[in-house]
Amino acid sequence: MNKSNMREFFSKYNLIILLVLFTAIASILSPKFLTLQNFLNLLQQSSITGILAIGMTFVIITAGIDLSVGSIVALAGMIVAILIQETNSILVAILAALAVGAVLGFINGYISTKFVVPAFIVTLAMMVSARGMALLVTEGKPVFGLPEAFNFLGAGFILGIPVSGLIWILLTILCALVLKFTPFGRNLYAVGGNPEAAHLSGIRVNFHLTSVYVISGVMSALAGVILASWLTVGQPTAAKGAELDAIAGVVLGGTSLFGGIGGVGGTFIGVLIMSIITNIFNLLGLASYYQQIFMGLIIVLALILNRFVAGKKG
Amino acid sequence: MSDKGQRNILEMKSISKAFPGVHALKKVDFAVLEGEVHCLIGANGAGKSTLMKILSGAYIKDEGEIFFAGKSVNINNPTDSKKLGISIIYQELSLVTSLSASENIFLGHYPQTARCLVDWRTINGKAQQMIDEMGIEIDVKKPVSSLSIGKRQIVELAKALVAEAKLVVMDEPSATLSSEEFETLVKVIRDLKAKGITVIYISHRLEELFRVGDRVTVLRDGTYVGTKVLKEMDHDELVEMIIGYTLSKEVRKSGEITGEKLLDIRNISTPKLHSVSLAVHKGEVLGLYGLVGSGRTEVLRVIYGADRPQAGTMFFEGKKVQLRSPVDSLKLGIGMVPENRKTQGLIMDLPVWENAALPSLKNFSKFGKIQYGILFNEVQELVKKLRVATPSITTSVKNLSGGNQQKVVVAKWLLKKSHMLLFDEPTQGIDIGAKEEIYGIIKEVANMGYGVLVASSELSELMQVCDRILVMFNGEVAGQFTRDSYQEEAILKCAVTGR
Repeated sequence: MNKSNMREFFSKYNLIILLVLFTAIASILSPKFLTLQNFLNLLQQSSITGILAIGMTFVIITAGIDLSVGSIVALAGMIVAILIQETNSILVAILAALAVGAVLGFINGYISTKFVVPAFIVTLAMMVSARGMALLVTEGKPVFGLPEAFNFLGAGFILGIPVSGLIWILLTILCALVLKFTPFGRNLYAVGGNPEAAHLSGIRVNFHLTSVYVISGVMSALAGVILASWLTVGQPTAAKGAELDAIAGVVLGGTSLFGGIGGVGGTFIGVLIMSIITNIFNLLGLASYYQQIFMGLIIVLALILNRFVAGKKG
Repeated sequence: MSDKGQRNILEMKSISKAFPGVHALKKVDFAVLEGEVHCLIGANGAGKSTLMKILSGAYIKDEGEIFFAGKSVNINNPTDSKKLGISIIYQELSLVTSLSASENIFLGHYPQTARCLVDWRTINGKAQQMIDEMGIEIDVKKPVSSLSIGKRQIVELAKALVAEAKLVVMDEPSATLSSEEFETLVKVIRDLKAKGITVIYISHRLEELFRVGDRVTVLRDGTYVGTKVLKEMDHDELVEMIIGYTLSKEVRKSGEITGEKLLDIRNISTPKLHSVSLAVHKGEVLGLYGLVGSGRTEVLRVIYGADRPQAGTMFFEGKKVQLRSPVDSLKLGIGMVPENRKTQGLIMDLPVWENAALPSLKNFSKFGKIQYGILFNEVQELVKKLRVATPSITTSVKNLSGGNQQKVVVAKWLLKKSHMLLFDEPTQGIDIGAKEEIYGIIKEVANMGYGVLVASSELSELMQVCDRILVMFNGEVAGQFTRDSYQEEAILKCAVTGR
């Protein structure tokens, strides 16, 4: 393999290489790591961040950002918990929570496109307000006493596989197909890569920009529902800082913050790598402070590696 | 061309458009016959871009009527014009560079399978076939960012074909093309014509109009000057129509070189240059001519410190110097007016004064504080001296025309009090009126005692402004011509054959 081939190889597969590397490290450190049980645990633990990161990938492909996802998780969790008790219907409660996520996402997208406000600001405002709403509904108190049946989404298993992990995987596959094989998906890349060109090609730029925030809002709400189901409680302070984990997963997964490049497959692996690192630290019994430092390092290193390889190519 | 029975595919009648304080269109008429290549030309502010933007739906006209294929039409946004079959290929290419060529070609009209999914096989297959038919080598699966500007243009054209355009508008298509790429373009335009597609061709290179065009419409100061059949007129007549007065070719006095040597490079070699020696004197305009790949640009890069030579020596004002980076050459007083002013020369959002002052802010600082009074005065003076047409020095440079932007780049180095200026393709994408002005500035700068080096692919331009022309061939200096020995054929032959 000559030099340029090697570079191409690295730039193409650097994520896989990182994944293999950390899996190897983890399995050396602990024989428990490479067990099916541990992997299934990993899936379950990563699913919340993973689902958020799917929505975030859509947003970042269009060169946007969504800081409100963590707060929407909490709000959706509260709504589903309260409505289950009020209506006795799990389905109605879940649909209502998802609808709220969609509406909040729409507001994000609508304001940022209609009034040409940076998404960073709009979603920052939404992050604050949605958290406020989550706290307001019960004046800050968690909602307990959710029915057993509701537990299935977050803590249930199908053929031994955690349901939440399964949802994450299925959504990743579905969204990967949407991004690759639907005109809608391709238009998102065009809008993110060069909105002017997209506009001149007759693509409705504002519609596409708004829609990614709706997607992100729905994904966040879904994550909120799953989290509430897993914890069997609606917790208004849940998922604080989750937006940053999601963004980190997306970026680690190779989606460019400048838009137009990336995909949910990479995001899946990015989130998985982050979980493995957490897992390693847990297996080592180290305090989470070390984890956070190391996680920061890994994200920066992965970005530099990407940049280096990509830059040298051109 | 104007056979009987041939109808107008496009008629724009008494179109007016006003902007607050900016030039506009005044009752402009413009008619294009079906199947012809119609050139549109005019100096800066003549209104041709405004007219085309109205056609594309980017601007909305204040007055007038547009007829397309005989029917009165309303064009309120780009989608409307697309639906009519009008495709505009912009000078600032409107491609999504992160996506593949094939995807760009089908952008907005992806072929779909029965299940409404994107049909990748058709996209890649059809795109490749189209590109192959044009006789150009492009791997359509590669991202556009990996293609040369010329090839990107071809991708744009293919995109227009896919959109089933009846009328293709090309805005300065050749501005960024090499001569071979231009030949391809000429061929593609002929293909379009053969398919019955009408082309509106906007360019400032008059020779090109005569090569590709059937008729030409001239605009001046937002008004319609006239439409002529190109075969029935000559170069000078066209120029007179454009500028509105008779042309006098002012040339610099025969190239006696009196100044002392400013820059002296001896036997410089890099991977692409072989033992190149040249000298630029104070008050001299030295031209560098050569085909693409001859090493013209590389010489500039070495002088500007962007590339480090592997061998050879360089003297500046008599002292031996080694340039490790552009910072070193800046310090010596060498200023570069780059080929691509929008990305390399200017920060488009910043105002005129700030762009001009960028490299010399330190010189205008006292105890770390910028002396705005002095700075503004000097910038103001330069703006006047260079005749930069700008409402004020606080206007963003993005609002200026190409020629005026170029002047701001020049002002930058004059303000920095450089000793030598390098021009790389100084008039690329600049209209003919502003070109003359840029030539004037180059001469003026030389008369002020600066040394000037101009690299250009337009020989006529070099012959007009330079005291001497060096011809590069295959990384070597193949010939030298002084003003009294300028002969176009000889210089061309030297550039092509190396002798």
